[in-house]
Order: sequence, then C-alpha cells, then structure tokens
Amino acid sequence: MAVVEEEIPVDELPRVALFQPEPGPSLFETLAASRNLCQIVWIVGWQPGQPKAEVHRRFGEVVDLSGLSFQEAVAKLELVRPDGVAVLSDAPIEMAAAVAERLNLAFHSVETARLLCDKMAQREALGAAGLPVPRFGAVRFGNTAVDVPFPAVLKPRAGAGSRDTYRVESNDEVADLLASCDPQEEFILEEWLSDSTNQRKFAADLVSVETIVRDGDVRHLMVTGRFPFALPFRETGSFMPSDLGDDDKGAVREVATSAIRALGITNGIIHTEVKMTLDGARLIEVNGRVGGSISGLMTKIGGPSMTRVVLQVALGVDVGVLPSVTASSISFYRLLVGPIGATKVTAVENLDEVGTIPGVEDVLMNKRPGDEVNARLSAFMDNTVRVDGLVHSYEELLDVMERIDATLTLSFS
Amino acid sequence: MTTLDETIRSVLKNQGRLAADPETLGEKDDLYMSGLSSHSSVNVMLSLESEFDVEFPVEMLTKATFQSISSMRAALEKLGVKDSA
Repeated sequence: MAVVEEEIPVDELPRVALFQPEPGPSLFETLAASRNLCQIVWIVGWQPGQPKAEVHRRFGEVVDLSGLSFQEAVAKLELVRPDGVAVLSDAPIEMAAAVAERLNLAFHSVETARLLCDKMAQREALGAAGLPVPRFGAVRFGNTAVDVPFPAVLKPRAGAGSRDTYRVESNDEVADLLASCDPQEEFILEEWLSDSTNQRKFAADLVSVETIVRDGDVRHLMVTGRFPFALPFRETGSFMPSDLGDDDKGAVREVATSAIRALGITNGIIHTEVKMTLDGARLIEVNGRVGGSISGLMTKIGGPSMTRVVLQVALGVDVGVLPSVTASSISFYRLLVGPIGATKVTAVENLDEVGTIPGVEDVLMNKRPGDEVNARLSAFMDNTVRVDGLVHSYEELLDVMERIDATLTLSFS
Repeated sequence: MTTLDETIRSVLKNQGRLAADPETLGEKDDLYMSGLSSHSSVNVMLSLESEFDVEFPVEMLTKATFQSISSMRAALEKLGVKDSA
C-alpha cells in the first residue's frame, strides 16, 4: 500500500539560505528537494544575470544582495539568521562560509572555503599534506615564467565548468592565450597528466566522486564517468556510474578521502575530480559543492536527490539510509557544443529523431538558430543541445552516443 | 471566448521563448525540445497563475507539468479551471 507523506506546514520547517545559481537545478527541482524538510530563503543578486527576485518571491522569502560588498552581504545574511546555508556552485562558497562561521552553522570553515575556491592555494595545501599533485604555477598576462613542463593545462585560478581552460604545448601558446583573456584574471598552469593506457572508446580518463562529509565522517556516494572533452577543454557530459573496475573505483575513493582530510573538510558535499593515469588515480581538484547535473544522474538510477542531501547537510541532519542505486542502469547527459571559432548557431536539425533513439529520455534545445556561441565558456552555459537518458549497459551507452552523433545535425557560422 | 488552449499558447508566446511559434505546435509536442528552458517554464507558470487566478501547489511544480500544452491543460483543469471550448 502506498504511504502518503503528511504535509508539514512550511512555516513550521527550519530555514535554509540557498545561493541558487543560474544555470543550476531548476526552481521546481529545488522546491521538490526541500519538501517537508525546510523552507528555502532564496539568496539572489550575488552573481550577474540572475533571474529577478520577483520570480523567487512566489516561492518564499528572498534576500537580495545586489550591489552589496562581500562584508555588507555577510552582515545582511547574518541578520536573516537561517538554520543552515547551502550552495550549489563554487562562487558563493566563501560568502556562505563567512555567514556559517558567524552563526555557528554546519558548513566549510572560512579557511577550507578559501582552499576550495582558490585552485592555487588548494594545490599548495594538498602538496604540503604529502599528496601527489601535478606541478603547477600561477601565471597571468605578462608573467608566464613558471617551472611547469609541457604539455600543460591552463585554467583560471578561480573557475568552474572548464571555462577558459586549454591544453597548451609551449610558453608562446600560454602567452597568446593570456593575451586574449581578461588581463586582470589570474590563471594556473598545471602539468598535463598522461592518459591511462586503458583507453575506453566513449569515456575520458577523468572521473569524479560525490562525497557527503558530516562532522568529519566521509561517505562516498558514486563515481561518475565523463564523455571525452571537446576542444579546447570543454566538458561534454557524464554518465553514472563510471565504467571503471572496482579496484580503480576504490583507488578513486581513496584519493578523494585523502584530499578531503588534507583540506580540513568536516561538513559539506564534495565533488572530487580524479584522473586515471599510467601511475594510477591522481587527484585533479576538489570542489566544495555537488557536481554539475549530478543530482539528475543520481535520481535517474534510483539514488537520492543530491539537492535534498545538500539541504540536509546544511541543516546538520543525518541523511540516513539513502536509496540504493540500481546497479543495472546507467544514466547520462550529453552536452552538444559548437566547434572552436564558431560564433553563431545557423541550424539545429533532427531533434525529433534524437528523441526517438531508445535510451534517450529528454532532449533540450538550449540554443536556436541565430543564437551566439562561445567555445571559451563552460559547456554548461553554452551548449546548443542537451540530451539526457538511461541505458542498461556500456555497450548500449556507446551505441546511443554514436546514434546521437549520427542523427543530430548542428550547423554554426 | 478564449479557450484554455488559446490562453496557454498565448502565454507560451509571451513567456516561453520557444524556437517555434506556439500556434504551430501540437498539444502533445515536447516544449523542452522546442527550447523551453527551466527559467522560462517558471515564467510560464507565473503567467498561467495570473491568467487563471490559481496557484500551482508544490507537488505540481515539476518539469512534466509544463512539458506540453496538454500537460498544462490537465494541470489547470485539476485546479478547477474550466475550458470554454
């Protein structure tokens, strides 16, 4: 017999201040995740281009931080006195940590938040703790002299979603790329880790692992695979679970645990990126939030809503026994992007046919003919079409990917 | 008198930011495949609430509710909106 959950009046629930990002989980998804758990206090105005506060007011209390300095924003949020603070992206982590510290809430400490947001400081801390990290150095326009061997990866010191990230072969190439970026922005140059010889046709050597940390207790949820990157270094989607063998997955979890300890993380949801190399699993970086689109991948295979888990951890409540994941299913999302140099979408064809491929569940057209594209942006921001689905074997996954590529026609100028 | 479908299509035209003219869409066509974003679906929802003086309860605020013209019509009828067609 179906159990009907009794609805708890919203005003009797604790309040979580949530920095809702754009793009990010939809308001609908966040509301569903908060049901019978908490009221959301929507924190808006902390990033450019956010939807107007009026939209959020329909769904509860809103705190608008537009135009405020960091300190002013923290002071305003302190007065709100939420029972928890939560983030779904990197940008507000330090602000949320400052609020949590003042109100004694479960979140990253201010120092850990700094290490999570500054890729340079994070690598220094990981290296100091004895973890193997690629050689790295800070570079910026006009200053590229660092002792890092080529090939290397150039990426923003603070950034997410592979924005402005490039594989580079020489110092001249680094100088040229920095000349085309914001001259004030700092980057890091990092040694390229060679790919593992165990090349898989549909997967990159990079994987990620989601982890719940509560009062220092580390609980890994799932290792997620990635599809091969698009040039210059753009993510093109993920699939869950990763196709790595049990030993490799164990090694990935071990690396993530060591990194979490080294950064002093005691409370939060962590997304750790690990690369499988000839020398084994090697840490790439640690992020202090759930990975992009991970929640959808997780629920599709019967796992928990990661957005709800984020809210539970923010409230300091035990997430309890999580739904077990169906081992025979593999969820995926693909982000279809334009080539380097493309500036505009000119045609999107055969979307309907893509929707009929067995295993494909959702097809989203995010750019239409005439819309601008920019290969320097994260593919989460700049994909033309997104395809989500569910399959039952890695052979089927490969087949679906090949059929998507053969069916969908995207044209750019 | 304007029918439920006509009002939904009008809301989609003003708030949906679809690639296709809503007048040309079938009632079961997937609006997300036509470019309806999660942000636009919230605006569509707010506009429908205003048009019909209803409030969607949290359990109806799902992607599926706004997936097609027919799914929106079904949700509105569940909230007591009568079609004049």
